[in-house]
Amino acid sequence: MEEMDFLLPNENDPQKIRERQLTEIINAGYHAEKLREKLSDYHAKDIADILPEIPKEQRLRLYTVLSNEELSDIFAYLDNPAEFIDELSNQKVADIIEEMSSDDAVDVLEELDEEKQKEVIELLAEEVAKDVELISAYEEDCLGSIITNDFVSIKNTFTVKEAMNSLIAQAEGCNNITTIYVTDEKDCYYGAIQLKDLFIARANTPLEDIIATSYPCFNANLKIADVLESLQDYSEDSLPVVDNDNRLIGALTDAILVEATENELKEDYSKLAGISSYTEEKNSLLLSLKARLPWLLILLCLSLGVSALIGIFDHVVAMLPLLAFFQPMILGMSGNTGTQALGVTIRNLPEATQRKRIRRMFANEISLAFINGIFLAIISFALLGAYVYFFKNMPLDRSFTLSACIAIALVCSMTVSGFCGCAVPILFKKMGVDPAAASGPLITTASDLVSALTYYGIISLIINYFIL
Amino acid sequence: MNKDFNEELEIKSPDFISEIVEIIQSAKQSEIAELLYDYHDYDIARAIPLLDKKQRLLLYKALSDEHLSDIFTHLENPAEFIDELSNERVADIIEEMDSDDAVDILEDLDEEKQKEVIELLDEEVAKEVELISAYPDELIGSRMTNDFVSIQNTLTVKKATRSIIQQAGEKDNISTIFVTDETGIYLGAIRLRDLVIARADTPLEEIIIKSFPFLYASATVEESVWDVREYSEPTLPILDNDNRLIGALTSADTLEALDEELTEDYAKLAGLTEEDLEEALERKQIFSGALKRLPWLIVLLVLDLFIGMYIGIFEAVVVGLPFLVSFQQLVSGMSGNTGTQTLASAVNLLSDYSDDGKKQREFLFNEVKVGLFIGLITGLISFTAVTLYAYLTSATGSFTTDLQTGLAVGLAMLLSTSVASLTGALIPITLNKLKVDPAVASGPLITTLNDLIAITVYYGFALILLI
Repeated sequence: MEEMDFLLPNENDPQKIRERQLTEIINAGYHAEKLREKLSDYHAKDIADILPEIPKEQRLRLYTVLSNEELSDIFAYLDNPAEFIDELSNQKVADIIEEMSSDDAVDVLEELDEEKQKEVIELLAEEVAKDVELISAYEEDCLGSIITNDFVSIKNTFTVKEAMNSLIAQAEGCNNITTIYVTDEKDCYYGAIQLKDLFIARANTPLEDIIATSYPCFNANLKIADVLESLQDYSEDSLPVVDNDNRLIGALTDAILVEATENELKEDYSKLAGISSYTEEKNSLLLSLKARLPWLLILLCLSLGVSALIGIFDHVVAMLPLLAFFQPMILGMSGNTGTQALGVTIRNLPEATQRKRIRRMFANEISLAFINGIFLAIISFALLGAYVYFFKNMPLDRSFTLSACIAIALVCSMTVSGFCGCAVPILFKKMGVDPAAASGPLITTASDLVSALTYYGIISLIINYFIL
Repeated sequence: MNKDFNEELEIKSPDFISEIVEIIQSAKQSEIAELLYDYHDYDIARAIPLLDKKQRLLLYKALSDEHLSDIFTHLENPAEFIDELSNERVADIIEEMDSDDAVDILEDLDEEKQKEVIELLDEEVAKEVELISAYPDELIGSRMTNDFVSIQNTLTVKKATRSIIQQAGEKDNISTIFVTDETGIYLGAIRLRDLVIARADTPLEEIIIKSFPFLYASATVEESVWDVREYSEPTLPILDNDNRLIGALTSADTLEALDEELTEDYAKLAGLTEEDLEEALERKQIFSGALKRLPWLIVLLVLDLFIGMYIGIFEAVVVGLPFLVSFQQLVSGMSGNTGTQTLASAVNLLSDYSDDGKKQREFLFNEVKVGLFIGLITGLISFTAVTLYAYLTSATGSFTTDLQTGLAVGLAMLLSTSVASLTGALIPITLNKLKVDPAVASGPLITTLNDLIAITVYYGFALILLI
C-alpha cells in the first residue's frame, strides 16, 4: 500500500485557539444565561485548563453561573483541584462532588488535606459517601480502587420496554450507556447487553435473548498489574467489576483503563531507573529525596564493597597502570549488557508464565550477551593492542597479549552481567519480591562487582608473564 | 488471599474457552451461532487455535460474516486462519470490519494474498482501506477508524435519534455523535446521553458542543497522544486538512499509542529498541538479534575506549597512588545512578508537561537542589568511609594522606553527582524544546557521559590534593 506526502494544516494549534476563545468569552462580561450558553460549546477539559489563567473574580462568578453538574465535569479535569476548592464553601464543594462519578470524586477528595477532606465527606449525601467509601476501602493496586459507579444496570426480569425506560432514566446521571449491565434479584451480576442490541430489539423479544451471560467480569480484589493485559485485550468500552459475593459494584471504563496502563508503564520505567515509585513528583525537594535516596544509599554501600574488592588487586594495578584506564570500559560495557538483559527480562517475565519460555528467554539473552561480547572483544583486541603498541611503546607481542587478556575479560564480564540481568529478577520473583525491584542501577552495581572480579582476576593470573 | 483470586481469573477464562471448544465439538452446525452468542468475541478468538482444522471449518460455516469479522479482529495471528478460507469469504469478512481493523488484518497477509483480497473488496470498503493505509505509521491518520456515527446539523432531535439507531446496527462507537454540515465539514459533537434525554422540540443546536476537541489526520501520534489521553473521551473526530470529518480515534487506539510511546521510553532507558524488547519471548534467530544490538554497543565501546585513553592523561595519579583506582567506579557509578534517576523523572515529567515552560523550570531547579543534596550526603558518607578504610588498611603512608584521599573522593562525589543531576534534567528538557523525543538521551548514553565527567572530576581532585 502506498504512502503519500502530507501538508501540515495551519500553524495554530486548535487547542490553543479554543483556550484563547474561552478566556475571551469569560472575560467579556456576558450575563449569566449567555455565558452558560457560550460555554456549553466547549469541552470541560478546555475550561479546566484555562481556569488557573483567569482572574479570581471571574472564577468566582463562574462558580455561580455554572450548574454543579457542569462544575463537576470541569473539576474532574483539574490538575490541582485543591487550590480552587479553597475558593468555595465546603457545602458547595460537597454539592459539586456529589455530581461526579465515584472514581473522579475519590481522586478529587484525595487532593484535599486531611481536615478539609473530612469536613467535605461529612456533607456528602449518604449514597455518594457510601460509593466513595467503597472505592477507598480497596488497596491502591487492586481493581476495586479504580472502579467507577458510572454505569447503567437493569434487572433480568425487565421487559425490553422497561429496560429502555430504565436506561433513559439512568442516562441522566451517567456517561457510560453503551454497555448495560444486568443483575438478578439478589443484585448479583448476571450479564451484559450492548445498547445497539437493545435499540434494535423488538418490544416482544424476551430480554434473555439479548443478554450475553458470559460477558466477562472481574473480581475487585484482583491486582491491576496482573489483569491489565487481559482487560486491554477485551477491547471493551466498559467491563463490570464484582465483589466476592458476585455482586456488581462498579465498572472499568476505557478511560480508566488508559490511565491504569499509563501508570503501570510509567511505574515500570521509574523502577528501571531506580526510583521507588512513580508519583507525579510535585517538584518538592523532600518528596524527591524520599523517592530516590533510599535506593542510592543501598547502592552506595554496595559500591563501597566493590571498591574494597578492587582494592585487593592494588598490586596488579601498581604493576600495570594501564589496566586502570580500561576498567571503565569493562565495567561500562558489561553494565550496558546487564541492563539490556534486565530490561528484556522484567518486561517479558509476566507473560512468560511457563518454565520453558523463561528458560528460553534466559538462554537467549545470555547467548546474545556472549555473541556481542565476542564481537566487541575482537574490536577491542585490535584497537587496544594498537593503542598500547603505538602510544605506550610496549613490544608488539606483549601489547597484543595484554589486549587479548583484556578482550577475554570483556567477553567474560559481559556474559556474566547478561546472566545477572536475567537471573536477578527471576530470583526476586521466585522469592516473592517484585522483579521490578531489580532496578537498572542495582544490576549495574552488581555487574560492576562481577566484572571487576573477572577483569582483575583474569589479569592477575597472567600478570606474571609480564613481569618475567 | 490474592493468590486465590488470581487463580480464579485463570480458572474463569479458560472455563469460557473450554466451554466454547466443547460447543463447537458437540453442537449441530445450525445451533452453534446461537449458543456462541453469550460469549465474548475475544474468548472465542482464543479458542480458535485450540480447535483442529475440521472444527474451525465447521465454525466458519456456522457463523455469519459479521460475527467472524468481530472474532478475527481479536486473533493474535490472523494470517494462518485466513489461509483456511477462500479469498471471496475473506473479502466478505473484511467488508464487515471497521476500516482500521481491516487495514490491520490486510497488513498481516503476504503481498500477493493482500492484492487478491483487496481486488475482491467492494468499492466503498476498498476506498476506506486505501485512505487509512495512505498515512504513514507516525501520523494519526494511520490509526483512524470509520467506526463512528455522524449526522447533519439540519436534523431535528427526533430524526437524529432515528438516524443513530439505524447507524447503531453497524457501528459500535455511538456514545459520541459527530455533527457535520451538508458538505461534510466538521461542526461539533453531541453526547449520546444528551440526545437520549433531550425533548423532541429541543433544537439540535442546543445540544451540539461546537468546540468539541478534534485531531488532524496529518498530526503525529507522538505529539497528540498525551493530549488525547487528557481528554478522556471514548472517541475523538479526525479531520483532513479541509476540516472535513474523515474518521475517528477510539480509546483502544489511544491505549495502543500510549503503550507504544511508553514502551519505547522503557526500551531506550535499557539501551534497547522497542522491537528488541517485544521479541524476547519469540526470538528464534539469536544471531540476527545480536547483530541488531551490536551497532549501538560498538558506539558505546568506542566511547569507552576513548575514555580509557583519556584517563591515560592522569597516569601520574594512577602510578602515584594505585589505591585511588579502587574508588573511581564508586564516583562514576553513583553519579551515573543519580543521573539515570533524574533522566527518568525528566522523561516522565515531559510527557505530562511538554509545553509547560514554567513547570519545566521548576523541575530543573528542584533537580539541581536534589542533586546537590544527594551529592552532599553521599559525598560525606564516602569521605568518612574512604578515610576510615584507608586508615584501617594502611593503604597509604600517613593519616593525612588518608584524609586527603577521603576528601578527594568526597568532593568528587559531590561535584559529579550535582553535575549528573543537572545534565540528567537539562538534556531531555533541551531535546524536548528542539522537538526531539527526550527519551533519546537514553540510559547508556547518559551514564557514559557521566563517566567522563566523574573521571575528570575524580582524578582532577586527586591530582590537586595528592600529587
